[in-house]
Amino acid sequence: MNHAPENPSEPEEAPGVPGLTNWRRVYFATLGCLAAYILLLFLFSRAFT
Amino acid sequence: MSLLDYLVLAGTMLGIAFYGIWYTRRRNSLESYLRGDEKTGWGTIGLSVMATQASAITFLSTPGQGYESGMAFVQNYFGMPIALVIIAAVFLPIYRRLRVYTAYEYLGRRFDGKTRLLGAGLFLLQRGLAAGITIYAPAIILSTVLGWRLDLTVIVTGLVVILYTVSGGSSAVALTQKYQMAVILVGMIAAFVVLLVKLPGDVSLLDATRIAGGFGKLQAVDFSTDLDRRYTVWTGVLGGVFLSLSYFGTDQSQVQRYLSGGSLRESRLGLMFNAVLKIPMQFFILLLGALVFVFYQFESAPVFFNQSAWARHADSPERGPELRQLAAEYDVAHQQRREHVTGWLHAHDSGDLRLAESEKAAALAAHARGQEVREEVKRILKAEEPRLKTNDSDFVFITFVLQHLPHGLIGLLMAVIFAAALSSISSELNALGTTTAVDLYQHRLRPNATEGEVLKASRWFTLLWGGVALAFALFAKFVSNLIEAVNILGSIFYGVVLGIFLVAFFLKRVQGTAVFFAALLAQGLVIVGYLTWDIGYLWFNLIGCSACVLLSIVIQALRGSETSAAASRP
Repeated sequence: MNHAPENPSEPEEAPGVPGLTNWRRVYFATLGCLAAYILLLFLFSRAFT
Repeated sequence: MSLLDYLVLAGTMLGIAFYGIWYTRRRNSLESYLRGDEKTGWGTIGLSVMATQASAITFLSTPGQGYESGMAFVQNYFGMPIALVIIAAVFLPIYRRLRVYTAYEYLGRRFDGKTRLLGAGLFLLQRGLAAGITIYAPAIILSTVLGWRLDLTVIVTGLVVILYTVSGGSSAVALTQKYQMAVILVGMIAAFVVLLVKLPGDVSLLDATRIAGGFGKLQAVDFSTDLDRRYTVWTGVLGGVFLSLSYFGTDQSQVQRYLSGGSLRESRLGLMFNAVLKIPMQFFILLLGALVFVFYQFESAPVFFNQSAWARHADSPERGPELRQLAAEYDVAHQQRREHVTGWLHAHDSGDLRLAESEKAAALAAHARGQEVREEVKRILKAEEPRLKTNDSDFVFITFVLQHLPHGLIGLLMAVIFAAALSSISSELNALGTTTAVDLYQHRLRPNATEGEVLKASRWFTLLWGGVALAFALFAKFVSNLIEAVNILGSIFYGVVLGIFLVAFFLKRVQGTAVFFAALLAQGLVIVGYLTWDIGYLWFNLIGCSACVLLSIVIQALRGSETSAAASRP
């Protein structure tokens, strides 16, 4: 069985958000979510402990 | 469990299994069997990655963790989004560009055949044993709560999962995992709602969180730099990045899930789906455990949650009277705690903060007395049955489900446990079969095998690994602490495998021979270290990875100078 050839030209565009042309924004948004979670959990801990 | 529960359990599980088998019955190409046709959408990939990670023990242990120790465990997942971003940005495009079936095939392209075999071998050794524990762990609990023989629950779970993994392959795994995850989420949400409904009428969700917080169960974030603390933001972020990078980036059971994406975009979004949703999901499951704790402030809780172990000893003539006496003392402490908790809430509502504080202090003191009784009970049980696991937190949630949920919903929650078990085991078996077929059979034994032969071999290897896992699960009772044993095994091998991949991705000048010997030396160092050093086993992930990377650089530098010396020789 032969392997399929390399596939160098997969589209790099970001998912269907107008104007979003690269994945960096998606990654930063994801890490922003992580920061927001840590902040929210911190406030949650302070509020009920 | 009633007949209705058994019907819901059997209907849900068989429905999912037969749907997966029927839907993928005509997929006979190697491509679709191993990579799922590469048509899978990001939602399915995301759920599939999530379901692979979430084993049955997650849904039994995590609420128990929330009940016993509170929300701090959520910090363990803080490193995961960072690791998934690195994998989506660096690992994934390389795997997809090279169109590999397994992560170790990439090592063959980047380095050489022997490094590929080493990576695949380390994975097979570790994951083959881990698949056994994934069958065995829920089987212990299910046999306890259902009253079935342990070997029967092991065999039933094992055979069902082998059947649909072998017949459907990667597409069936991804497809059924979507529904398994849906069953899991619906079951957990239903348990949450029932829990809120079952709280006394005058106790609101806000009151419940106030009680949980008062008992220290809602401390979710800890910025302490104290190294002795098990869960802090720092251990969560640093340790979490490292563990998630090795698990999601190099473990074939996960790599195979996201390589089935229809495009790079679908695969990346599937990973980002997990990066964003995993922390809220774990928070929710831990909160469920904290609320079960609040529930047991008003309802009487068993002094020891492993009910079958309790029944064995409480009825015995030797220590039975003593145990029953302790249970009565525990009930007294519980009654006092309930009165003070109720007084605390009433004082808080009426604005009498001083009284609220004194009632809270009295409730905490009654809780501490109850805990002392529990410790005494555990000490007696351990003395009577040395092999008994006295940490009963794994049984907290299942006891709550069986004793307090309505019939029908109990069956659904049992289906959650089975679904979680099947989704993890099927991914593991699928990955083991694929790796053996592609990295050993096709690469070494039959390089000229046709696609049909590799597909057939892949099914046979999946069946073989299923049998190995089942046999390991059946004989696993001879190992005293299996979960810890397999975790230790994972920590011993994971670090070195991640080290090989990090060298492959980031150190372009290092060649195959250097990394191969570096990995062998690093693995030897980790094994010697494990046998002689007295440190926590999780550190071996870091030691193995660092040693592999550093030794690769050193060996490559030595080989490089040898090569240039040889080249400059006349």
